[in-house]
Formats: sequence, C-alpha cells, structure tokens
Amino acid sequence: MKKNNLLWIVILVFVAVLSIILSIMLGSVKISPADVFKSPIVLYIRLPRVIMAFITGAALSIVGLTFQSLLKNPLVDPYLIGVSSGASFGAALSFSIAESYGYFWASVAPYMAFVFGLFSAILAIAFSRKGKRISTTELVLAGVSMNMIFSSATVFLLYFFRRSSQGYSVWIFGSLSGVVWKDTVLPFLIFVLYLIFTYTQSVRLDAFSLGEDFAKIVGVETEFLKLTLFLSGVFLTATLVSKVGSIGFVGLVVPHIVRMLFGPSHKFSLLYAILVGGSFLVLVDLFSRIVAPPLEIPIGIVTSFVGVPVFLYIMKSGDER
Amino acid sequence: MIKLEGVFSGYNREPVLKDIYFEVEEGFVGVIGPNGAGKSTLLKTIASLVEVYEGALYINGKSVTDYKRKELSKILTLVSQDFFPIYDYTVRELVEMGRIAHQGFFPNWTKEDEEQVKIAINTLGIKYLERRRYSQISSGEKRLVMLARAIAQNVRIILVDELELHLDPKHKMVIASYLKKLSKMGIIILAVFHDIDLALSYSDRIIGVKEGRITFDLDVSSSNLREHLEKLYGVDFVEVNGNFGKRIFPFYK
Repeated sequence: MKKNNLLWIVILVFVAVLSIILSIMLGSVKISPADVFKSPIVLYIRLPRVIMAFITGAALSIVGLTFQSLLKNPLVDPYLIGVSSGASFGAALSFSIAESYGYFWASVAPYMAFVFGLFSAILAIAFSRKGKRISTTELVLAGVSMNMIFSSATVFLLYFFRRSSQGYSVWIFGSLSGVVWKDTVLPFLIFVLYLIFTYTQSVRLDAFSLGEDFAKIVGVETEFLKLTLFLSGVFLTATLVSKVGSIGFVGLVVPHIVRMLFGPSHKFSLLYAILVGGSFLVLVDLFSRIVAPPLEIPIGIVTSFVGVPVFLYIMKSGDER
Repeated sequence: MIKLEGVFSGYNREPVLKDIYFEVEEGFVGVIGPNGAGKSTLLKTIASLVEVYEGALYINGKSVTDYKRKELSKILTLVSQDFFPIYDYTVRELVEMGRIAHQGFFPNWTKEDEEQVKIAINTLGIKYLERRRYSQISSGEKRLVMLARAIAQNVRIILVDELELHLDPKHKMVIASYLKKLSKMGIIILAVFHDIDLALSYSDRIIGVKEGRITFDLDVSSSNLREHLEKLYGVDFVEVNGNFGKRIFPFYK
C-alpha cells in the first residue's frame, strides 16, 4: 500500500473514532467523558445506535459503490434504483402481518425485504433496458417510480393494518432510534461477508466498470460477477432496511466523494467508502438527534437534504453521458 | 491456432458475418475492407464477444464454447477501437488489468505479474505516463496504453482492431514492427487496417472482407493483389516498384 493511502486511512480512522465518541457523548442527556463507560444510556442505547449508524453508512456506501460499477453509472445507489423502498415495503408487510399472525412473521422481515427489494430493482432495470444498454435517465425515472409505488404501498399498508399512519416514517425515511444490540448482529455479519467477497473481486470489478466486453477480454466471468454482487448487495441493503428503514442518498454521495478524492480503484475505494460512509451516517444521526430536542428528525430526511444537491451536481457535471 | 468453419455471427439475431471459413496457424495476418464490412465483428467473433448463430470456431483446436473466460483470456486478447471508460483509472492500473486472467480468486500480485507489466510499459515507452489518469492523455497515448495492457496479458493470439488508430507515422511503425517481432516469436497477430500501405508492409497474409464475407485470402507477395484490392474497395490502385520493393497505393483522383 502506498504511503499516501496509508496516511489517508489513518486520518479517516481517526475521524471515524472521533465521530463515534462525539456521538456517544452528545444527546438529550449530556454525558461527561468520565462517565462514558458507566452510563447505562451509553451502553444500552447510544452505543448500539452509533454502531448501527456506522454499519449502515458503511454498508450502503459500499453497496452504492459496487452498484455504480456494475451498472457503469455514477448516478445509481440502492435507494435510487428502488431496492430500499421495495425492501422497506417487504419489511413493513412482515411486521404488519406479525401483528395479527404472530412473531414468526416479524422474524422473516429481512427475507421479505430481500424479495421485494429485488423485485423492485429488477423492475426498474427491466424498464430502463434497451437491448444490452441501460439508459441512465430511464433508470433514474424507473427508480423514482418504484420509490413512489412502494412508499405509497407502505403507507397504505400501515393505514390498513393499524388504522393510523403512525410509524410509517420509520420505513419511508429511516430511523435509528430504538436500535438495541441484538439488531446489529445480522447486519454486521452480512456486511462483513459482503465486504470480504467484494474485496476479492475488486480488480475484476475495476475491469467490469469499464465495460463488459473489456472485462471479458481480460478474463472476467462477467455473468458470475454481476449476479453474485447484485444479489448480495440487494440482500445486504434489505437486511439493513428491515432494521432501520430506507435511508437514501448515502450510497450515492459517499462513493462519489471517495472516487473524486482517491480515484476509482476498488482496492482502495471500498476501504475509503467504509470509513467515510460510516462516519458520515454517525454524524448525520447525531445531527438529527440534537438539532431540535427532544424531537428527532428522521435520518433519511437529513441524508436527502445533503444527497439531492450532490445528485443534481453529478447529473449536471456528467452531461456527456 | 484460430479456425472458423462456416461461421455466421452478429448482433440481435442479425448476422453481420456470413459463412466465414479461415484458418490461421501462425504469422501476422492483416484484415482489410471498406467501412462496415464486418472487420471488427470478425475480431469480436474470434474473441467470443459476439453471438455465433451457425458454424464452429476453434481456438488451439478446442471449440470456444468449451472455454471458460479466464482460460480463453490467457490465450487470446483483443485491442478494440471502442473503449470509452466512465471511471478514470490511471495508466498503470489499466495495464495491470491485463493480469486479471492470471490471478486467483483472491487477488495476489506476484513477481511475474509485476515483471509482465514492466515489460509491457517499457516496450511501448509509456513509463512517463504511468501515474497519469486515462482522461488526461492524448488519443495516441491511449492507444499505446491499451496495447500495453494486451502485451501484459501475455497471450498467444493478439487481435488488434484498427492498428493505426490515432497513431502518428512513427508510432504506427514502432507498433507494427513490434507486433511483427512477436509474430516471428510464434504469437499470432490478426490486425484490422485502414492504412493499406501499412497493412501490406507488415502482414504476411492479407484477408479482404466485404459485406460480411471473405472476398480474398492471399499472401502479401501475390501477383494479383492489386486487382483484388480494386474490387474490394471499388477504387483504382497503383503499383510502384523501386529499391524498397513493390508497393501498392490507392490512386486518388
């Protein structure tokens, strides 16, 4: 690893640790540094929440990075192509059914999220496909349509089952409140597995992002790469969504910043995306907690405020595509 | 060895190439023909990037359908003319991608990988570009980078689409003579040309393609080459003899 990269990684690890510490100490109850490890608020409420924020930010960022390479399109993320809102509908459906038919249905939420997330992404891609090519504009439009349909379906579902719209914002805009240690286990495991697998494929993914014919010529089994990275990316997103709802734009903004600063090579950009994405969501979550206490702004609203301008900027600067 | 037996191939169920038979066992083979004749499709067919509807294609005696991508990429590579990357890698990273077929499931960069990349970069004289990003170099330099990537791949068959694309006369000569040297070392070179003089200067054999069919397949020293060229392109050609040997040029009126 080159000196420069190592230095950056050290700086970013430092930023990540700092943002986690800050996020643990600040909140509606202020905790002094001396009491950090004694306070039950830290151990059972803030720490799992901050860890979950980091995992979610890191995971959405590497899934976004991977999808942008698979679709050869820097305007893509799991939220924009409809995976998140489909998954969010699947999870909401599970929990709604569980209210009437028992706990089993709540435990299958990650799988229901996977099925609907996959369904939504496949629809978006199918609608935007022209022969072998996927049109950027149409993919974004199809993704927006999927988001509309599944978000509306989610709200409908909650009205129908609960006769109120309470709680729908968790699924539409995401929320990390109420996360406990148990919730972090599955997302963490899937995240680590996904990272290891993607890392082994990093050089092949580099070649793939430059075109399928090019990748084939240098010896990449393109169909295997596409299928495995796509399905596992949808599964990781679905696992997260079933715990924290749908959080948009992280997977778009972070890979863009990382690529701009450090270049596109996945060997490094995957690591950078984890550190930047994790710290970013930890800080966004902190902001959403402390900006208007005791109210909490749903985290997805904050990420949209940051993400939409960046999205428009990328769209505008990439006119030649 | 490349062998095509009655191949029909193309895109979206529409054959571009029709009933192609030919065999290359060694040497430097030039492919020429008018625009849209199917020359690029021929190279892409051999590289197994295009659908084959009928007939059979063999590489080293084995049907291409029996190859895994990775195996095929250790034997054969293509330098195509349509490479427009969306993401901006460095020259060094692009040349390193030539080593993908030689790597295992877990990426491990061996001494041999490093050696082959060095050879490729030094051979094409692009060491000074190594750290530059692809978008920041000239079209001619881009071409050299893609050739370096192909050389780093260390294969037995190199297919080059429009060898002279974006190259100045000196670089045309350097590259064509380097490929010629490789062909003498037992590597098959199959290159598409628009520059007929260049094609005839370096190839051992010339294949003419028109409307998806092979119209002639001749040794470069054949006496009736001029008539075949005239038929192929529909323009007159002149033959010039001198102490440089026999040269054939299109006669622009």
